Amino acid sequence: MKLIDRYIYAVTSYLPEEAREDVGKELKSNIEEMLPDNPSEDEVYKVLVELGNPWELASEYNTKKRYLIGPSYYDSYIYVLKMVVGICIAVFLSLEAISWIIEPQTSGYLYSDIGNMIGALISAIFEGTLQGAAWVTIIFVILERSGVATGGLPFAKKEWTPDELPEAPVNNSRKISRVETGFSMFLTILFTVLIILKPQLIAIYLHGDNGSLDITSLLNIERLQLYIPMILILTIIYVAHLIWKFVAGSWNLPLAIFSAIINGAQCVLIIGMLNDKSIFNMEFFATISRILGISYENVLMWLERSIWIAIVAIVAIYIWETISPFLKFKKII
Amino acid sequence: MSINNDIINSLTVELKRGTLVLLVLSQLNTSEYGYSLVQKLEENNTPIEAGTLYPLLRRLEKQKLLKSQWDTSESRPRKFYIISDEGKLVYEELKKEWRRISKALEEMIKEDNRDEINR
Repeated sequence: MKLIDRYIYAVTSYLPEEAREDVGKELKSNIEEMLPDNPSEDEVYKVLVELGNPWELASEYNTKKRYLIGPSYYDSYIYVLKMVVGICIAVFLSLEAISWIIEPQTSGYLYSDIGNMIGALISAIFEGTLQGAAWVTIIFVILERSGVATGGLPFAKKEWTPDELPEAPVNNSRKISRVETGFSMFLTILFTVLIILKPQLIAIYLHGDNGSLDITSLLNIERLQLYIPMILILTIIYVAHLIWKFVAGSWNLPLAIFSAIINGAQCVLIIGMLNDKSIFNMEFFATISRILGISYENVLMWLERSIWIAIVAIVAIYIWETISPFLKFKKII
Repeated sequence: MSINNDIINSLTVELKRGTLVLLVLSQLNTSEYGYSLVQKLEENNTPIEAGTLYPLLRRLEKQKLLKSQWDTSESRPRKFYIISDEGKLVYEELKKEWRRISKALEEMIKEDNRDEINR
């Protein structure tokens, strides 16, 4: 009897909560029917062998999707996973190595302490792998559930028509370059990890009088914290959009629209941050004026101008990036 | 040429799988519980494994092709299944389709036989 209860428990534990009791009761009564009165352990054993692996039996009961990444996504998933994990490891590792070389005092390492460094590098590899794999998996699960893979519009249950066929690969102007997307992925991850984990690396490094290194950070790190949640969210959505580009292989309307939205959101965030003067560390500009022998006011004026040029450039790039897929779509380019 | 039994077995399972619903619906004009239906099908030389049949009954009930009721009057409670009105309609349609397919397929297989004899 105990064996039967264990079997039923094993089967129902794979089932959704609401089905467990009823399936369990029915299965128990059916198993008992299959047995003579007062069955021996051996007879019970045989019946359970006949019913087979509890997991397989449970999957017959369950008809819902029971996988995270399905076959239609599997190949792209493995491809993107390898790439992103590779990029993450490279970024984490190099940032860790750079901070070890540049600021041994502030980061608490000593040149002599190789053990510390190796430890930090190993944990950087570990963290890079973990972060990369986790985010890629989450993004793919969302892509899977929203049905982008099947070529349809995400979240829309519309019948497929031949109009949706992408152009044949030859001379396809709508094609998305994988190298380009991979490069964007690299820059995105590098920038985000830099800003979030090591913003102090963007700085002027000067040898002080006593041989120590004077580091003047460009950014006001306290103020930067305010923007980090937003940066993180936009980066994740942006990476999701890059993965979608990988999977799709060529531009389609929903992708172009999504692309326009996420690029726009990033533009707004960057322009907002550039306009927030307190995000800059004013000491940085004081140091510049000291080194270059230019007056502080002049440096600030140049900063002002550079910000304006940057904003114009960002907006111009954004407009081009947003419009070009649509133009390709209409076969104008 | 050696015959790959694994392939034959898995193809046979696949072939039978499509007929299971028709088979089960055909036998549920009178109510049956899981194991009684297993036995009935076995006696009629159309056995279905218990591990396949029990979940199938439940799925068909979810699709509203079967109705079920617990009978607790006897010493052992049993869940009885019987075909629903909707199930009867579906069964009639499936039966027609099955007859059409099997007749057409039979013709095709016959022709193939003749070819082999002529060769």
